Amino acid sequence: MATIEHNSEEAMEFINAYAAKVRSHLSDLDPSVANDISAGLESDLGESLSERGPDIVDPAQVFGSPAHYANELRTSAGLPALIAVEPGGPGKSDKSSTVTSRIRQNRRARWLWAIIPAILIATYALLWPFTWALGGGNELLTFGIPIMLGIVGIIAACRWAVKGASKYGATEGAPGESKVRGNWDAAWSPITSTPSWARLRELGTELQAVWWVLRGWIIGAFLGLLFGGRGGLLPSNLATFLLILLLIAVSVQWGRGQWRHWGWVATAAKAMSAIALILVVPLYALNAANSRDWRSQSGNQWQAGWNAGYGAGLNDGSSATTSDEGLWQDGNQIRNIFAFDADGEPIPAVQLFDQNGLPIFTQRFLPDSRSISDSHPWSVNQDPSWFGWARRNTAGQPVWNAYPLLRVNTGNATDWQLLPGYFDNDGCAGVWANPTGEDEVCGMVWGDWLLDDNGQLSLRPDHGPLLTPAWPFLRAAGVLSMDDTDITDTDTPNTNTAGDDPTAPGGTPEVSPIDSPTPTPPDSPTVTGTPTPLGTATPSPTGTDAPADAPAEVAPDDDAEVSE
Amino acid sequence: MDATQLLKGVLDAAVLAVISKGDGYGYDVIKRLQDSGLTEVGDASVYGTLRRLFTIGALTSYVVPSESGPHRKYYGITPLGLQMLSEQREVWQEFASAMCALLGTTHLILPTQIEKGE
Repeated sequence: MATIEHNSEEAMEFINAYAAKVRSHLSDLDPSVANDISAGLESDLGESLSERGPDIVDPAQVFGSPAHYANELRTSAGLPALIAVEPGGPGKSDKSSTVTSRIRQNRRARWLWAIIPAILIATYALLWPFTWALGGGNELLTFGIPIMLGIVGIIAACRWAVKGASKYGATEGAPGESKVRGNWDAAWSPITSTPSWARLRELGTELQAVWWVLRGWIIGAFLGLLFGGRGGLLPSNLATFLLILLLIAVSVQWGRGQWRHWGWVATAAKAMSAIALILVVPLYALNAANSRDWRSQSGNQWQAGWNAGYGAGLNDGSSATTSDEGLWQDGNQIRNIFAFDADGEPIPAVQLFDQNGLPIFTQRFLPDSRSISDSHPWSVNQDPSWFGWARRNTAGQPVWNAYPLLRVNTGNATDWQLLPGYFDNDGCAGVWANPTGEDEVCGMVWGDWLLDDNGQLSLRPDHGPLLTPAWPFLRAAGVLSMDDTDITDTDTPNTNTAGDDPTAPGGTPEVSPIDSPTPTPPDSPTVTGTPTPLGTATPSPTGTDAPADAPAEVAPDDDAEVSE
Repeated sequence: MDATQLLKGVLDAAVLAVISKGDGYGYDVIKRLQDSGLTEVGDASVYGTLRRLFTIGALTSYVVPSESGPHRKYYGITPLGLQMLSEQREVWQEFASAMCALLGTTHLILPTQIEKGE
């Protein structure tokens, strides 16, 4: 076998890459047969290229696509062609062979476009029920779509770059850029030259039609959405359905190359694929969101929206899980806080802060900025007709971490209401005018609550008295003072605390150990040196003040006190 | 009708005929086929055919160094190749005559008649 040396190493790289691809298209054959019909392929390619002139570098420029070349090798060896090949690949002029090879590349591109969305759709189809069951459907939307779009973008960019490189290589013979494709293909040849890969690609070719249908469907559904339909991938009305059918027909025809003699069709088909790929995920999400709406829809549109928002809150409450709304403990919402001091006496008002110095709110809303869309007035007592209202500071601002929250009557109202009969001259519906007639406020009321048309929540000017809610009990059990810092250091806190703090609550006049010397004064005469038995102590009846004096007598340095 | 389809069946004979008139390397054979009017012939088909004919012993091959460019692998015809060529010529002539009679034209008969006369 002769060693063919072509003009440059660069050209050799092209030839090797091209040959590798040709062999990959023969990989479904028995290896010995494939070897037979492709033996010396590089030499033949090099010879033929060098004969045609030094300017030609890319074999595809002359021979057409590797698939075409491989097919020719097959037929010349009396084997059936793997796929139908368009007539006149390499035999024609350079221009036509380039066009042919581009068409072949487009076919493969379309195949790739078919696999990617299939993976995306499968991923979403699998993920959605899971995340939905976990209550995290929104996260999928929030993070899933950007991630998926990112992946699609990267793939598209890669393909675009590779395609751009091959285009340059094919038409202008810029070897540097075309080399990218050669290297790319060569790098993958260990995988792409296996028989399994050939079978996979064959499968992909057959599945192309499925993608053509899907592509038309997606674009049709999107157009239907643009023209006022609702729903996502599934048509919601006859017009959308017909539109989808039409787009499927167009997509399939384009895919089959039926209308390819119009030059723009190939480009349009590619664009259609890309757009469909990008749209499929949002459309699918929209579909899922809609079906969810339909399930929960029980009244008009507004009601459905309210249900969606409020129902989530109800679910949070009933499912005994903590919520990010308000303050919760062990699955129960803490609506109000009642504080008692160490003696167990109720503290009329107390401000609470957490470990970071942030106010502790039992309700999430920001003072004076609440609107009906942001929050719902929570009951501060067991009685739902009494709702919370904040105390004011000296500047008149509400202090929502001052407890207990006050209560304001809501009467029998169960929702925001327009007060009938009050309308102002500005055309503002639902004017609430206070009885004095001085101020007019536009808004809605809920008992004594007033929600004005700026979304500001306040009290009606004629609101009822603000009351401290009923305390759960009048007095709590007392606790030890926090001065007892060593309270945890002893096993028997009773004796010790009594010694350190005689003022401790419940301090009955119990004799503590330190007082034990006091009984000794009756024995003081023993100091005089008469070791008489206990009964002989005659002074004991006389001295009620003896205990006080006795230590003084005992103490060796009490002379000064005595002298006084 | 597509000329490349027709060519598939007769490429062996065409290549053998070209080489029987003089040894040649791959691209040279392609050029000679194209010059004689078979413009649709493709690189891979010819190289593949040459390789296959060489494998079955219808062609021999030898390498000729080239001053410019790569060495060239020349092919020459063997007795087996000559025998194959004459067999295929007969088959083709019968086939072509039948087709010409069917299609009702004498235009394509001319080359074969010339060859017959030789």
